[in-house]
Amino acid sequence: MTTRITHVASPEARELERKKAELASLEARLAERELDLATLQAELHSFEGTYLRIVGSRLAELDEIEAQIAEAGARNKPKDREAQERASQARAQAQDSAQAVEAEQETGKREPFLPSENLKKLYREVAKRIHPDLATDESERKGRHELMTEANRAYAEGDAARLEAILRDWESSPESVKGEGPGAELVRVIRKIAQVENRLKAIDAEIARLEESDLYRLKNQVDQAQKEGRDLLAEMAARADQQVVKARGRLRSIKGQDATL
Amino acid sequence: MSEDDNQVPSALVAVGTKALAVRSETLIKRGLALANSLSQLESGLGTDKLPQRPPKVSDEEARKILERMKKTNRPYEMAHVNHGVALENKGDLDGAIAEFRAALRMNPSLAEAHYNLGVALSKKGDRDGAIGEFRTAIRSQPDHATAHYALGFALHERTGGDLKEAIAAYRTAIHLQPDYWKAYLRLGVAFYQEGDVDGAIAEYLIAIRFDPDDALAHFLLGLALYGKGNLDGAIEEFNTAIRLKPDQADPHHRLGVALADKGDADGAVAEYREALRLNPNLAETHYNLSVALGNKCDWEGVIAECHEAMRLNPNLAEAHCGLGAGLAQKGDWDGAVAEYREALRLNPNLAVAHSNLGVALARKGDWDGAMAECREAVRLNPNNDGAHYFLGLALELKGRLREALQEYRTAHELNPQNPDYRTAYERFMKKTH
Repeated sequence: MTTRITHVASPEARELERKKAELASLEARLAERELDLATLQAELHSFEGTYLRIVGSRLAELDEIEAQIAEAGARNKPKDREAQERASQARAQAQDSAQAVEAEQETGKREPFLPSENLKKLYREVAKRIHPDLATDESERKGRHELMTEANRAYAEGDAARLEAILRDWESSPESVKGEGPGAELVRVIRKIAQVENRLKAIDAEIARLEESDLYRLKNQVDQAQKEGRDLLAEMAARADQQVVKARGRLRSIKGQDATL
Repeated sequence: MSEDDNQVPSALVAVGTKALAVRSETLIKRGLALANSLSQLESGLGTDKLPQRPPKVSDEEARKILERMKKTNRPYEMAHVNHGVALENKGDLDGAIAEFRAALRMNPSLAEAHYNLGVALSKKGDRDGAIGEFRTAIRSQPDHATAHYALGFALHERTGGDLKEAIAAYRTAIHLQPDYWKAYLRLGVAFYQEGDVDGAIAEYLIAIRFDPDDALAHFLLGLALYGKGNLDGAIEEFNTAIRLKPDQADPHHRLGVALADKGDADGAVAEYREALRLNPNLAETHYNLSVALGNKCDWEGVIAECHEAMRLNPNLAEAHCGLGAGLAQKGDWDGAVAEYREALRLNPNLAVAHSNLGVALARKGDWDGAMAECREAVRLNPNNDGAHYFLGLALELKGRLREALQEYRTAHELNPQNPDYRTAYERFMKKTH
């Protein structure tokens, strides 16, 4: 073995520079994808509220009438187990629907989620600096996780001031700077790269999952109809109203039958 | 790597939609059905007046979905692959290979099947076949990190294999999976073989930081540090490797060498003995033990260990030389000369055998022979102080005083502590002046 004595920058230091550049570009992409995900989630959340108020409330009303119809039918045939079963199922569904609509009414009216460019920019900054996957140990990760959750909430609520405050507090907090030479740092950077890449994969998967959800498909149809000049939610509401009217008629006729007995 | 397993999941859903979504799920499903029925109604009413609807799913999305289905919806092929892996684990390599080939008949581009077939072929000793399968797996699925690693490994292990290509494969595996610590380790080995010890050390350090409990990584780092002349670092790493995996003979052997270099003969003897307890068939360890025993003047021990080393490896020139030295110490100069000559027959460039033979011949009064051997020893290793000294003696006896003075001076300069060299040099200075 010939021992060479060379005074080049250590191979670890060279590798560190390369990896740092790689991490920086990954961090930028991560912030962008976090923004995509947070935007999609907030849009879906907002759309869900709108849908529940306009159409869901009517379907809940329909469910209530259908439950009453089924219950009346069950009362007419007390020995018919199937009718009893139908009635209790219809009641359960009516309760579920009513609860969903009530929960939505309690949260108050939700504005359509239309984030400003400034809000998006702030969120990107927060994601780039505070992202939990850029943590180097578990306790730091937990702290970042909490802040990120808060930032997600602020973004969904369009609260730019809160995002600014989170960013300000973060910048002024003394983040521990660990100096153990390029070897330890290189491993930290490599770990971060792996974490960020994993997180990017998880975001892709989550966005794909959301895009396959019923809520997304429904929103897509509503958006599509809007482009064609139609208000699909209003059409759905009108259709639901028709069904409610019909159901009321059926209920009345059953109750009338009830009364004659 | 338990730390990775315990990581807190990232803030995937933080907006608070969950509680509501569970209850409103049915309502949304019904809404979707309602919307669909409305859309169908509308398109049924006015197909002539409405332009064709834009497709609900873009081509790009459709392609992605198809890709995803291709990757996931292959129950039959994957059943063959899984069965093959199970057979392989049981040691039934032929059965496993048949299963992998069955999967490939159904889907010739199934990366997982090519990869596993490669592993099975490699286990059967068909390295070239394995390399071909790993390459095909990579062509089908370029982000298959394990296949890149396996390709690198197979290329690396192939005799006369291409190190550069193996290094490239390891690098790709690391690029695809930055915490692939085994790839760092192998990359380090390749660098070391290329003579880039610094590069090797860097890679070993990374591997160790990812898995601090891997004995092999510490052992390899110890070898590289030893190669750089960092004895303390090497000793520490060998000790760590031994602590992590105490039943391996090799780290004990290497630790013994490093301790001997530090001048700790007792420590070296203990490590060599432990290595031999774990594996009594290590000829080199027996020989090294004999050297350490020689430093402790245990000549019986030297002779016994050299005999054992020669029994295990009759071609080990150093062991013959060591035996010669042991015999010489016991005064058996004829025996010593015979062993030295055997050592030189096996390895004519063994400088220490030339100088030892020179000394033995000098003791027997064969000054011409002594002079020739010592000259050869000095030529092979100009820093051999003993050879210079005995060459001086031989030259002095032959009356070649000027040359003799030169040799004594060199011996004295190389090792000023040796009283024989100093006495000879000073005596000669007086004599010549």
